[in-house]
Amino acid sequence: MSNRVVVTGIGVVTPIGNNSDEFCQGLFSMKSGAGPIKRFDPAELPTRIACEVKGVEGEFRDVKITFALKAAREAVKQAFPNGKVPANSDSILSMGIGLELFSVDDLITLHNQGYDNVADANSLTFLNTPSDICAHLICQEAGINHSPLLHISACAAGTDAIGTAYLKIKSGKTKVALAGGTDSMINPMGIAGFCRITAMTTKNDTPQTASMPFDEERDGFVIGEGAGFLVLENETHAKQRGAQILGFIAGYGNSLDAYSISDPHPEGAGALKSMGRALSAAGLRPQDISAINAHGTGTPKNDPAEAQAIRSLLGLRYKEVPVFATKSLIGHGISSAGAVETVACILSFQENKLHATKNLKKVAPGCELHHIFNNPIAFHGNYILKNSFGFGGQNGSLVVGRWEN
Amino acid sequence: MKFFSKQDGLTLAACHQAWSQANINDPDYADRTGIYLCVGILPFEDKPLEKIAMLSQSDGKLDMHKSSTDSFNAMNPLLTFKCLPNMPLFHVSSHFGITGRYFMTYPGIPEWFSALNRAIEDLQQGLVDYAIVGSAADQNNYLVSHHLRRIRPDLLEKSIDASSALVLTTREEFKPIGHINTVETSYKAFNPLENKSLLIQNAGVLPVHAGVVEPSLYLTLHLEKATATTVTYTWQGDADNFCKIEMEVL
Repeated sequence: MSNRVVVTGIGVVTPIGNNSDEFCQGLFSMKSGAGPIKRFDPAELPTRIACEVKGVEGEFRDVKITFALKAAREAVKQAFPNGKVPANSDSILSMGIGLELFSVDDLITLHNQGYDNVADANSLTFLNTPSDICAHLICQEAGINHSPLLHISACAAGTDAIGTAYLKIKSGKTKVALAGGTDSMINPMGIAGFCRITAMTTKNDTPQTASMPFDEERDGFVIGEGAGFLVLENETHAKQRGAQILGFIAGYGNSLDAYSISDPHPEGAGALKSMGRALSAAGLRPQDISAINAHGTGTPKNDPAEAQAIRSLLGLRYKEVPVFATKSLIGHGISSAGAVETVACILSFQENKLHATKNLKKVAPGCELHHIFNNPIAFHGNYILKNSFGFGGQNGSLVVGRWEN
Repeated sequence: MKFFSKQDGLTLAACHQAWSQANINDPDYADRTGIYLCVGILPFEDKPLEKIAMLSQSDGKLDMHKSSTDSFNAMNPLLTFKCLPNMPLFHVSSHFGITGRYFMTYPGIPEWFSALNRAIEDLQQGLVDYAIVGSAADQNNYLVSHHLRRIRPDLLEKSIDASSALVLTTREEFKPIGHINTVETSYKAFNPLENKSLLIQNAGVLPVHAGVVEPSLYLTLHLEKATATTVTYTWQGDADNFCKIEMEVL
């Protein structure tokens, strides 16, 4: 039995499209998801722009739960039209997730009135909603009966979730995995927290051009939100049931910087290790990589460190291998980022195109790579390396492969 | 260290004890060690929350002007790092200089078993030679107390801050204090809105509520006492949802 790990379903909720078709159109038309924050009044916060999801309504106050349910449903239905994972597939859910930041409104009510005097205080949605409930709801809907694997490695969580699912299928422990991530920190506490550590852009007057990874005028990331899920499957299992295969996960690696609470290793040492480990798992060499989907946050410190790591990995081929940053279009989705961007890689193979890094005009010193400027380019390569790096030095990399029928 | 929360300290203290006891002197340990951590739901201390509540309101309601100025300016910038749940992983990796693999999860006992299983799989597949499996429960704070009160108020008075860690290896040159015989988990999907008691686990094997740390703490206490040949920990939420580990005491 082959143990290649193929992709048979994708689903997303993003700032530029609420399903994979809309997202695909948004990606290759270079649509920006950024604008003034509308979910709440940011008042005088230093950053008042974000890439928000539009037009998704749900029963949960914590929008990331709604995003996750919708994106997971789309992915599962594409792979299994009845919306259920086969009962005999030892299936798993592996997902990156943001934690339960509290509602300041509820905090004030609770603080002023006391727990016993607030009628809703004992509900699961008052003050904060436990994030793990969405995993149980997804498992129930999809028919997954394995304890959910929840990843909280921040900005690397979505990629780690997919990587973990890859490892589980590769080892033969499961045949089908629903893997992805969901997050939204577009709320008063989330935005204030990132503002306080000056991680985000303050280009409030020009939201659509504010997310500019690798550009010399970048000043921080634009926060995004959303969810992305992929159905991963053992190749033989997928073929035996006649599934349409969209691509495959060829390898995964992760690493720890052990360097700084907030800054990446300046030479990208940890990033280089995670990329190397992903290639090793895939049985590939650096020269086999055809493109790189960068973590590319647009923060002053991430971009040169990542660029240095990529140059170290590729050697002189760094001048040839195209690099693109999806966060230039949809912002930084934190725990969802790696998953949504992996879907972008799958769509790149399907469309035979790579989107450009929007808003990249003049490459910053230290960020020299073969960037894609302005418009999408044709792409017929076989492997895209996908990076995700988290605060605190957690690095995850995937090798995503083109599927030739 | 720029910032060190209670959860960070708890995690590091337990990992340091376990790592010291393991006495690993392999010069290649940095890349050959994985860190597998499980923490509870987001902790947040009472004082900063009280300050946010006081400085963000007018007439008893949220005032974003005040929130974005008075409250915002009063906050320690590094408080943000309390909201990033992966910080214990940074502190453990940084303290020991570990650059190998990781798995960072939350918020309960089934997830601690996920971390344990991942460590075992990485060891068996040769991705690492050593695995630190740690857990931390920072429970005596505003948010976690609220969470307990709305789901399992009976555990509130018994909840403690705790941490525990195990160091696993497949390398034969070390003298082990225990051997993992079996790890068994069972999960049947449930609707957490209708069955919320399953969201907080307690096996009742300790006189306190140690949250996510319970299985590891129970095992380490019994490994140290070594009064039996095997030690078994079981959490059983219902007929379909349980986790069990049996270790041989050496």
